[in-house]
Amino acid sequence: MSLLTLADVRAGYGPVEVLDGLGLRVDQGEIVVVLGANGAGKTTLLRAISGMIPLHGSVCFDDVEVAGRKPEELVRMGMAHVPQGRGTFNDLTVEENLQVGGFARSADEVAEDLDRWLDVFPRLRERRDQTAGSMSGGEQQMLAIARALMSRPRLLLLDEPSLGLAPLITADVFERIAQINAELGMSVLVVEQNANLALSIAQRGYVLETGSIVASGSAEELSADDAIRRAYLGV
Amino acid sequence: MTVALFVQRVFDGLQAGAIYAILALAIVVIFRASGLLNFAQGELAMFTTFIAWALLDSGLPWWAATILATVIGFGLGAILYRLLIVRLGGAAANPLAIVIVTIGLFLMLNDGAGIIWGSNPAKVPRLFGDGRVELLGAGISVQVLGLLGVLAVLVIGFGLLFQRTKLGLALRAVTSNPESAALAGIKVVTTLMIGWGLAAAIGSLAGTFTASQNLSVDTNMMQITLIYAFAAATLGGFDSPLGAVIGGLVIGLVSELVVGYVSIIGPDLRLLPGFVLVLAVLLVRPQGLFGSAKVARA
Repeated sequence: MSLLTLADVRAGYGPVEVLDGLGLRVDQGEIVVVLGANGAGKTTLLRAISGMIPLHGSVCFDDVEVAGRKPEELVRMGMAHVPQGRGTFNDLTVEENLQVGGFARSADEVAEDLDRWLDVFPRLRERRDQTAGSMSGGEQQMLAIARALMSRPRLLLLDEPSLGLAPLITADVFERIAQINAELGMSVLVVEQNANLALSIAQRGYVLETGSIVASGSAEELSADDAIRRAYLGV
Repeated sequence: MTVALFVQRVFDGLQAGAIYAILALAIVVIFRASGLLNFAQGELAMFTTFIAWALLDSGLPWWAATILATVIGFGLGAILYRLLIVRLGGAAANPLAIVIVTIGLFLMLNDGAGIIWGSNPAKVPRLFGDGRVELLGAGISVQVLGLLGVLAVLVIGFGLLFQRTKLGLALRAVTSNPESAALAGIKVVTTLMIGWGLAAAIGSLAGTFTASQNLSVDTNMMQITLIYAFAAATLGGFDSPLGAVIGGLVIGLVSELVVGYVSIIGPDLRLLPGFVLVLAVLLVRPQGLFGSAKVARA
């Protein structure tokens, strides 16, 4: 069953249109990857979905038309967005970052989930009282994901989680995402340049070029496609 | 006699310093909530103090007028944020334009108050009465003690607000990263309206206390205080409410004692000692006494 459906989405910044009538779908419990080079419109796509920039077209989330709704409404409906560059609150401690992540929920739920994610990410527990800005990039990425999970989302939007991370740490991040997806049945829409890793955990994928979807298919199909291999897998 | 004189000067210094501290607290609250300096903070305080005076003039007791003006100040601050700062795109989009706009507001409020209430000082009473308490031979006015008490309540209240409440967490999150705050479900504009409202409310108290000390309200009453308040916030660290308060008290004390005991620095140079102190501290600790140096790894 479809959780998120985009149809004919156009969005951009002022007069510059970045997304050119784009459509895609994320089903319940699915990990979907959007591959694309720099400037293809990956970040704009996620920003449009989560209400950070205005858009034309249709965004259907959980059978409700949500185009034009604000981020603070969408998070309450079950959509969480980990922005590019992680978007951690650098001056706040790890624990405070997680509390902010649970802002739309009750204090009891926040306390419960805080414990749970500190168990899943033991590094964060160790650094619980440290400011987020003083942590390494990998730790900050874990924190950003944990923060998004604090809102108990049904759909997690991830913007290039591999950015600026060493390959081993990136692999660890993707492994965690796959685990959480399997355990919670939470859908994930991840945009990435690192096609290898992203396809390895995804069920389906899309290829985004200059604001349009140019190819789509199962993760296996995309991994096997020669053109895609040349363009995004570096082989 | 010399002990009595010293005690007297300490309390005179604390009285001036407490008012700098309160206005500095307002400046720090805005800075923490929105990363902006509001140059109109002092004039906003003057304006609400005139409102308090108008209420007094209409028959309300001075304390009730002060409280009511503080509430009105909250509303003015929030409206100012919503109508002006939001329209200019907030701190992220346009920090310099907003700083210039607050300077424009400074002039507008100053002239506005002059047009509405006239430029002649209007009389007001002391907030805590004319009583005095004997301490080591010096007569300490109840006004000073009341002022210090209010300051202590403000410091503790704001410390708890920022560190222990959901609203405080929202204010800090919005300051740190407005986009992520919105993504976490925080209503950014509403949160900042509350922040600006709180600052204006505190500032309003600084205004009515200044009036209670001068026994009058006039349109230029907050200008020197604003400069001292900026100095206090700089000394204490712009992101530390406690620092701003200690900064204000220290500057008040140092100014009073140096002017009192160093004969070559007479009342004409009374602005000097405080600012020399600020400069000296900044050379050693650029972030101020209690400010946090920004730590961020790439």
